[in-house]
Parts: sequence; structure tokens; C-alpha cells
Amino acid sequence: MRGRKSMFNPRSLVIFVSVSLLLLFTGFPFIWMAATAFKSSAEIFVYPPYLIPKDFTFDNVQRLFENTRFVTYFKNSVYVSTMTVILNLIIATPGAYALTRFRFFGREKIATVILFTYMFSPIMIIIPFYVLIRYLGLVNTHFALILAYTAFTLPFSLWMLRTFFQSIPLDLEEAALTDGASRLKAVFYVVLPTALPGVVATSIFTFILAWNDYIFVRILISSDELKTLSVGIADLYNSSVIDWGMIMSGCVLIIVPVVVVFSYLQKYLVAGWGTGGVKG
Amino acid sequence: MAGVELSGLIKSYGALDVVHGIDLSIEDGQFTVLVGPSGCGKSTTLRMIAGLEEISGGTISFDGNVMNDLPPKERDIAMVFQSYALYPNLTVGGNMAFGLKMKGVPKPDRETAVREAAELLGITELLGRRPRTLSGGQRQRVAMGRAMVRRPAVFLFDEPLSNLDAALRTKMRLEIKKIHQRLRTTMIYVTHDQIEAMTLADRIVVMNRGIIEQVGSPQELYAQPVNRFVASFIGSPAMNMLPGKLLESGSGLVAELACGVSLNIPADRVPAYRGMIGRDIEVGLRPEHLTDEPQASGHNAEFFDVTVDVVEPIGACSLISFMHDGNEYIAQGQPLVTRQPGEQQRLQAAMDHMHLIDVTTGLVVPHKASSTDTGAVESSPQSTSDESATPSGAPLNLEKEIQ
Repeated sequence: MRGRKSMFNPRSLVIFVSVSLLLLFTGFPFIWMAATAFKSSAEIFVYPPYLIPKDFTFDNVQRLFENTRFVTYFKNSVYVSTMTVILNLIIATPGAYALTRFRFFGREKIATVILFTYMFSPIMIIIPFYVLIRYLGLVNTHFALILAYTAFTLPFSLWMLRTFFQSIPLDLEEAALTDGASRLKAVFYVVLPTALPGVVATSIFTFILAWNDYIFVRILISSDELKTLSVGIADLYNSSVIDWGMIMSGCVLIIVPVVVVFSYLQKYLVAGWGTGGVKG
Repeated sequence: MAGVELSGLIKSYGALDVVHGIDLSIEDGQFTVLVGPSGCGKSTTLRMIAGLEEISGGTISFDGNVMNDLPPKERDIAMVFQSYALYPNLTVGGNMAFGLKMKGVPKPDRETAVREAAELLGITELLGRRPRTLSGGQRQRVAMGRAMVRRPAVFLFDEPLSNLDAALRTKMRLEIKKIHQRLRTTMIYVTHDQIEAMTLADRIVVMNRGIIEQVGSPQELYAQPVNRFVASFIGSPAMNMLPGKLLESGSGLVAELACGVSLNIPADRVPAYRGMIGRDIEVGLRPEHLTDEPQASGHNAEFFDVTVDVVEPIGACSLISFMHDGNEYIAQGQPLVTRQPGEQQRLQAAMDHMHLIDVTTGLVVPHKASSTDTGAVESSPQSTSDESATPSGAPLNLEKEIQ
């Protein structure tokens, strides 16, 4: 009764309509993309256009797998994103821990300076970064991408994890130390499990950034077999005939894993962002 | 089990000294309570013993082995924290077994040890639960259990009962005492609550501003405080400190109080107090030695009149507050007598139990040889240097080392 009443109160109605319009505005391209992915080539260009495919087909997906290197791109994306997450955590976790727990000269300044690097958009540093990567002889390698994404996500990861570590009472760690744990074990058995939402949130953020990146792959990778999904799919435009059905099915397949992972882990992400919001 | 020895223990944070070179010897199996007001350095001392705080000077040894540079895990200690500090990611059983796991004890043995401790503490049914689902009292028990399971050489408690309500605190206090009686392990317990200190301790260490004021059994500290701080800190309600001057009166001595009352000093104390004649003093009398009984209850009872300010009936007796020169004092009244604020009340001072405090040094002037036998007197550098300045014929004989 209560819920029904509030639905019809004018304020709720305005909010409901506004949210629905916003949702439609942001969601429509995705719906159109999904619909196009399962339409036949003929159906895609029918005028007037319609949303639901009349002749539902998997031909586009099949062509994507048969005629392109979609599987290679997908594997590359998974590899690069996962490795970025791992490298990021390997560096950010002890880094954030040190910035929280150890007292050393200039600790707060270091923490602030780290965040400065996050102020620049990738395009601003891509040329110096390319020069550096070329100097290291890493051009056209996945490692270059992993390094680039790690460099870009590390400031955020450090700050996010630092906020989480700060919220863990020192008593917990000291209890572990007096219980016979070394500092490393105390971190491993007590601090990290307690900071798990932060670790997961940081990982998701890093993964999505690496997964969606276009600019670094475009600049640093030239071999087709090393490309990741974003550039791989974009390059499908280069052919003389643009196969929209195939491109759209590729886009759907790019988004699906992210949506699945995001839905599964969103509770951690919300907790992570919530904590960051309060303390950061 | 282990005896603990602190020698010249210092803690400084930059230029700020918080613990000023304390010496303390704790016997194997003893329950020692460090008590003092906030900021007196008691928790810092405990944390230094635990190895959680670096020491700035001096030595800490367990059974003669210097622990100064050893990390906590190599000291064979267990600590119960004020916040309980239970690991939120582990169950109660996991929390209790954690220390044994770190020691590398096989799982079946860990489970047996946890079950035994849980049975002892009555928390067997909680073993599968997470800390966040437990009440304050239950968390406290789990924290105790976690410490007990490890069978450490030394138990450390950092104000473990502060977060509990009054009733639960009393109950847990009793349980901690029972556990000590059963395990007979060395326990060092920090609290700011002198009742907790009195009820639990074999020996109490009274700390103030980073020094040890006095060490002794609860009875010793209560009956024979060595200085004004200990006299007023131990005991609840606190000891009354009546300011005045010590004067000669015939062959005896009289304390002329600022409020105009004269109290005769018992004859047996005259030789000890003679050196204080003409000096500013305070007469220390505990509320139970300042009563409203009309008949003299001892050989050296002195009577004087006061105006009742507030009456607090607490069941077994009433606490009668009265004001003199802007200071508030408390006497103990009979429970069934009704009094009104503003009423005149004749009080009886049991002078046999009085303490004479030298206002200049803040030290209690000893009146019998046994006061130095309390042994466990550890005093501040200032107090020690004041020894020579004591005008009393009897030197204070403050012992530097305890037992």
C-alpha cells in the first residue's frame, strides 16, 4: 500500500519519469547495438528501421569468429587486463600499506604527488611514454601495454587501497603480531582479507580501464596478432565494406564479460567507492 | 611462564619523554596491575613489554633474557586489547586458533586447544560465528580465549574491560581473576580503574607522568601510600586531604587545619612527626575514617562539626559531602540516619588511620618502621632526591628496587 501510494505522489512520479528517460537515453545505443548484432545484413538497413530482429540470426557472430581474429583479440585483452591487475596489486598493495603504516619523511607529500600523475589524460603523456617504451625496446609487446596501464592506474589504486588500510584498526595487526605472526603474515592473514572490498574494487577499476583502452594499443601495438579487442574491432571499419552486424556482435561480446564481472562484484565496488568517498 | 624485569625503561617521542626510566620486577606467575590516570605511560609501558613499541632506553627481560630487540612473535606473549581486536574475517574458532596456526601447531591439536579454552570460557556454541555477530561480553571472552589458547609465558591486558557495562565488567573481572588462579601465568594488566586494580592484582604499580609512584599489594597501597598522589588515587571515594599546619601542643602535636579545626596527633606518632613541626601539612583521612558515629570508636578519635552539603545514600552507608574553604570532602555516614543539606553534623576522625603529608615534597611522612617494609616502593627521581630534604627525623628510605 505504502509503495503504491508513493508511486503516485507527484515528486516520485517526476523522479520516475526523469530516471526512465535518462535510462532510455543512455541505454538505447546498447539496445540498438545488441539488436543489430542479431539482425541479418538486409534487416540492418531496412527503412523504416525497427528494433527487434524479425529474422534472429547468429550469422554475424559466426562471421566474426571465422573471418576475423576476434578470438586472438579477446585472448590478448584478457591477458593484458589480467596481468595489469596483477602487476597493479603487486605494486599498489605494499605501496599503500607503507603509506599507511610506516612513518617516514615526506609520507603525506609522496601520497599527494602520486595523485598528481592522475591529473593528466593519457593522450598528454602518450608521446613521451612511446619514446620511453621504444628506448626500452618494448614497442609492439603486451608488456608495454601492461606497463602503461599500470602506470596509469597505480595512483588511483594506491589512494584507494591506502584509504582501506587506514580504515583497518591498528589493533588488529598488533593482535596478529602478538599472536605470533610476522608483519608479512599479519598483512597476509589479517589486513588483506579485511581490506578485500578495497582490493576487489581496485582490481575491477584497473581491469575495466585496461579492457576498454584504445589509445595505448593504437600507439604501442602494430602487429595485428597482438592487438586487443578495442583496436581489433575498430579496425574492422577499415575494410571496403563495413559489416555493421559483425562489428556490433563484436561489441556485444566485448561488453558481456565486463557486465558479468561488474554485476558479480559490484557490491565490493560500491563498498570500495563508498569508503573512498568518505575518507579520500 | 616467565618473570619480567624492566630496568631503566625509557620511551620518548622526539623531545617528548613519556616513560622516564622505570624499574620494575614482576615475579613469575604474579598478577601485576599498572594503574594510573590517562597519559601516565602505563599503556606505553605495556606495549613496550609486548614489543609493539620500540624502547628508547633501558632493558626489558623475561627470565633474564633481554627482549629489547625481539619482535612480538619471539617474546611468547599474548595480549588482550581494549577493542578486543578480533579478526573480522575469521570465525570465533579461527580467531582462537590463529596464534597456534602461526606457531605451526597441527590442526587437530589446534582444535583440541580451542575447544578446551572455549569450554573454560563458556563460548563453545560461538565457535562457528563471526565476531560481528557477538555482543561486547562475548567478544571479550573470545579475546581472552584467543590469548589463553596460546599458553604464553606472559599475558598482557590493555584495559580489556573498559568497553563493557558496569555489571559485565564486574563479572568479567571475577573471571579474569579465576583464570589467573587456574593458570598461574604471569599477567600484566593495564587499567585506569583503581577498583579493577585493587580487586585483581597481587601487586599494583601506580604510575603517574611516566614514573612509578609506588609498587605494592592492594592492601599496602591502601593503608600505606608513600605520597599524596597514591593516597588520593587509590581508594574510592578518594582520601580527604585537609590542609593545615603541624604545631606543638604541650608534649604532643596538633594539626591546626585551615578550616579552624584542631586535631590532636596520636601520641605514638609524635616522634615520627616531630620534624614537621611548623610546616604546612595535609591530614589525609579516608571517608571510612571520617564518620558520623557519636561515640568514639578508637583510642584517638577527634570530633569536629561540619555543615552537610550533599548526602548520597549508597545502601551499606551514606556518603556525606561537606565543603571547607572551597574544597569538598567526603565522610561516611550511617545508612539509616536521614540528613538534610545545610544541617550541622558532628564528625569523628579516626586519627589512628590518618596520613600526614608534607605539602612541600608531596610525600607521606612515615610513622612506623613497617612502612618501609612494604618493600615495593618505587619512586620518582624527584621523590628520591627529596629524601635528603625530608625534615623528619626518620628518613623515607625509598627503595629503588622492588622485592
